[in-house]
Amino acid sequence: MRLKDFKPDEHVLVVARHHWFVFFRDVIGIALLFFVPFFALPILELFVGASSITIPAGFGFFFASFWALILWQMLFARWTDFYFDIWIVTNWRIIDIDQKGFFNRDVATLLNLDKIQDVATQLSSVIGNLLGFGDIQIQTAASHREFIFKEAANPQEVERIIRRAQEERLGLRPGGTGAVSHG
Amino acid sequence: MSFDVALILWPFFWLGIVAVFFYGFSLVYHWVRFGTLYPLVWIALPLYAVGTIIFIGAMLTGIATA
Repeated sequence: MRLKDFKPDEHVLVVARHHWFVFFRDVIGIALLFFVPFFALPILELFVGASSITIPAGFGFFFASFWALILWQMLFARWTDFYFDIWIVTNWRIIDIDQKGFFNRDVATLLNLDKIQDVATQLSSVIGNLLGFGDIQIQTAASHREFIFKEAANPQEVERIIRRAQEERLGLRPGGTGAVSHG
Repeated sequence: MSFDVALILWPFFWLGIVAVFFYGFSLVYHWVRFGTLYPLVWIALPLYAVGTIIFIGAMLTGIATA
């Protein structure tokens, strides 16, 4: 993976993504929405059944398909939001690619590695601890600046790679790190 | 004179098509444009297309049988 504005000797060390559970949670929500018509239609039929109007069989099938079509679009829109939101850690800097909705894509260098003061991870919630995902927090030399990547997969591994890359950048450690991807 | 009840369904069908057009264009635009950074989009793209076609077909079947 290379971005257009990479320096000649710049290479990717790790790509931090949100944990799969973040998307799975959305899938559960959409799956629950899918079943709404199956509860709504019998209730509607109960009301209509009292009158002389009859609902043709194709009506239910049509609206279930219509509903499924809309949810199918929502599912892939959520997946795109989830999958396109990444932090790229290179041997020079950390780049944040933030996808918000469809046409709001923000690609920015968060900070150069030599500006990092502290890196921390926080595993919160029971599921976060069980599945091993959490927030990565980066504190810069400027005391008021803190960057957080929420619900990242393998945050401790990403933290270790950032620390190691920073040490190499500052000349505290010789050698290089292989490129890996987490997500 | 009898009323064709399927006529009620057509506006919903076109509403669905407009939604698909909006979502489909936005999704495919992003996937194709940034596909080099995100390899999984090449798996998502056919899956999305097949699902969309199936659901549109199902809506038409619903209209035909209404």
